[in-house]
This record gives sequence, C-alpha cells and structure tokens, in this order.
Amino acid sequence: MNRKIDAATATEQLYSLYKHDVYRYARYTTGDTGLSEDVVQEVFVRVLRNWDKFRGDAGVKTWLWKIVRSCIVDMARKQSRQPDASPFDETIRSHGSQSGNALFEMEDMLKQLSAAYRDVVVLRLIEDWSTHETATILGWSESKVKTTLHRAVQQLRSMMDEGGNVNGVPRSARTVPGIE
Amino acid sequence: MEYQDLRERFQVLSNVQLPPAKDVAIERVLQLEIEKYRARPLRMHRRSTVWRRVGTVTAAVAVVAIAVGMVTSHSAPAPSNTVAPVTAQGNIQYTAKNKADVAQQAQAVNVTPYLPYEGPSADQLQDVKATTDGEPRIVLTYKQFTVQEQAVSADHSGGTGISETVYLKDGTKAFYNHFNNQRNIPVSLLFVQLGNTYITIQGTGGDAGPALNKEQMLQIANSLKPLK
Repeated sequence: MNRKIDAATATEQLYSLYKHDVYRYARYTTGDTGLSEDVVQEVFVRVLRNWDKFRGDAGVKTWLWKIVRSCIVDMARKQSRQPDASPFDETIRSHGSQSGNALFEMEDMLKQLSAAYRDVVVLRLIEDWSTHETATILGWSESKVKTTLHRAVQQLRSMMDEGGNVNGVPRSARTVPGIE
Repeated sequence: MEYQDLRERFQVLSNVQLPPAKDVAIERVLQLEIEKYRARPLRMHRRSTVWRRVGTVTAAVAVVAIAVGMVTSHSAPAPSNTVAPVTAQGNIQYTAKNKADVAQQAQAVNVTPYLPYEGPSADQLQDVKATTDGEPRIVLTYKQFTVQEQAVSADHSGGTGISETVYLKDGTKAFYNHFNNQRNIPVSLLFVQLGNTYITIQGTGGDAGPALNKEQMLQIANSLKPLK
C-alpha cells in the first residue's frame, strides 16, 4: 500500500482488506463477539487518526496489528471495569452456522489456552503470520514465539487426545442453541 | 509446513467473518469519521477539493433521503408525512389484527418492527412470534419466505454459500447469500439493517417451491416499511 495516500483512502482500503482478519483475531483472543465488533470499529478509527504518523518502518499490516493489540488491551480493560462484564460470551453460538460444531469445538479449545498461548496460536496457525512477524506484533523475541507455540501445541494435542472434552464436559453432551 | 495438521483443524476458524449487519454499521461510522476528518481545518491548497468532495457526498445523501423518504439508524427520523401510505401498495396486505400481533410480539423482545409489502407473488402473513432462542427476535412467516428482526446485530458468519453485497433502491447496503442447507435444500438470505433493526429475509425452497432469487429478495427488502 502506498504510504502517500491520504488517511481516509488508507482507512477505506485497510478496512476492506483486513476487517475480517481483525474481527477473527479479536474474537479468538478475547472470546467475546460484542467486544470484537467494537474492536474492529475502534481499530479503523485509530487508523484514520494515526495514518499520518505511519512511517513505514514495518509493513502496514504489522503496523495495523499493533493498533489491534493496543485496542484490545484498552477495550478489555475498560470492559473489565463494568460490573456485568464477562470474559467469554455465548452469543457466538446464538445463530446457526454451516460449520456448526467444528467451529465451536475449536473456539472452545482456544478459550482453554492461556492468553499468551492463544495469541501465538491465532497469529501463527490461524492467521498464518511468520515467526518474525508474530514476534514483532507481540513484542517478543522469535525464540519466545517458537517456544510458546511449541508449548501451546502440546497443550492443544493433549486436549484433542482427550476426545475434545471441554471443561470436563464431552462435546456430545452439550447443547448449542440455534444449531440443528 | 509446521504443524500442518493443526492448521487444518483450525481452518474452520479462518472462514469466520465480521457479521454483515455489523460491517454495514461500522462502515457508516467510518464514513462519518472520514467526513469529520476531511472537514477539519486544512491547508488552503487542499480546502477547495475537500469541501467539494464533502459537498458532493452531503448532496447525494440528501437527494437519496428526500427521494426515498426514509432514513436509517444514524440519521434523524424522517417527518411522518414523507413516508408513503404503505397499506395501499404492494401484494402483501395486513389486517389490523396482523399489525396488532406484530406490534405485541415486537414489544416483547424490544424490536422496532418492519413489514414487507411486496413479494414475488401475492402473499400474506401466516404467523408472527417472538423468540428468545438465540438473540431475542421476532419471526414473521409468509408462504414464500420468513423475516427475522432483532435489535442486536446477528452473527451470520460461517456460511458456506456465495455472499454478495447488494444495495436497496435507497442505497442502503445489504448482503445476499445463497447456499444449500444441511438437508440440501436451497436457501437464500438477505441481511439488511434498517434503523435499529437487523433484518434477515430468508427464502427457503422445499415445499414452498424453489428458493427465492436475488431480485425477489431485493423486491421484498425494498418494500420494508416500519409498522404504523
């Protein structure tokens, strides 16, 4: 993307290109669909306001993801101050989706990981960022990314070996409203 | 590739998308922010271009609003005399009882109800009910289609069909999606936000006949009017 385009055009282009990626990242790292939608909006408002400060030291997507992470931290903090805030909502399940249970099963697995494991799994295995890019976004060393991913993968494999039981409850015993 | 098996397991998560209705709402917010950004104090050499651009957008919005006589969530309510008398048009008619039922059900789930007045052929309201299974919403059932209305953006992610951005006659953005459901019955969906109401029109095949096509779904969506 040309760094010389104006902020409005850049915002429109980045929104068009990355809105779904931002949404997925926010949704899988926070586990909260409502918060994730708010994050998407806030991210691109910040892009508009900060585009003139983007110097091109990193790739535009990496720059965007730093904004995404900062938004998630700010908004999660704000939400945690509200009395009824809950970390993971169930609205994700409230409407039918074609990919149904497989989707929810994988989301459930992610939710059981620690925040650091979740971050690295989402960036490396779902969003397909390189180790170097992931390290830049998270502000970690590349070796920390590799080590953390390795441990996260071990935990995931262990969960899968246990038959996809989530929080001790077999998937087959759980009901999902709105899903046939 | 490293951890290929896990990447494949997680593939299902890569298909999730921002819900269309929320996408529309965010785009509106961003457009407002962009207009504010463009209208801020600027250097003299850019001012004329920027104001010409803002002026064009404002004029276009005004023309659409006047021509259509209806507004959406981020605009001020239209004066009541700009809304066409709805009962006199279209091939879907409502009795006073139909309207009272819809109003009652909508009130129960805090939804501002809209009614379609045009369908592919003459039709009538078969049933209306409020449900709290999932997001609280009302479900209006007609012979050839159903209309779901709710106050909270629906999560329409995960669909495997072809999704397409479409526009109503007044320029309102909507999303059209069609696919075969788990029983291999063709389904077409159209998502649109009007005011504070998130509306999903579903044209289902099966006993009622083939799924409605895009033009038919748009015809229904274009005829949606707030319940009076």
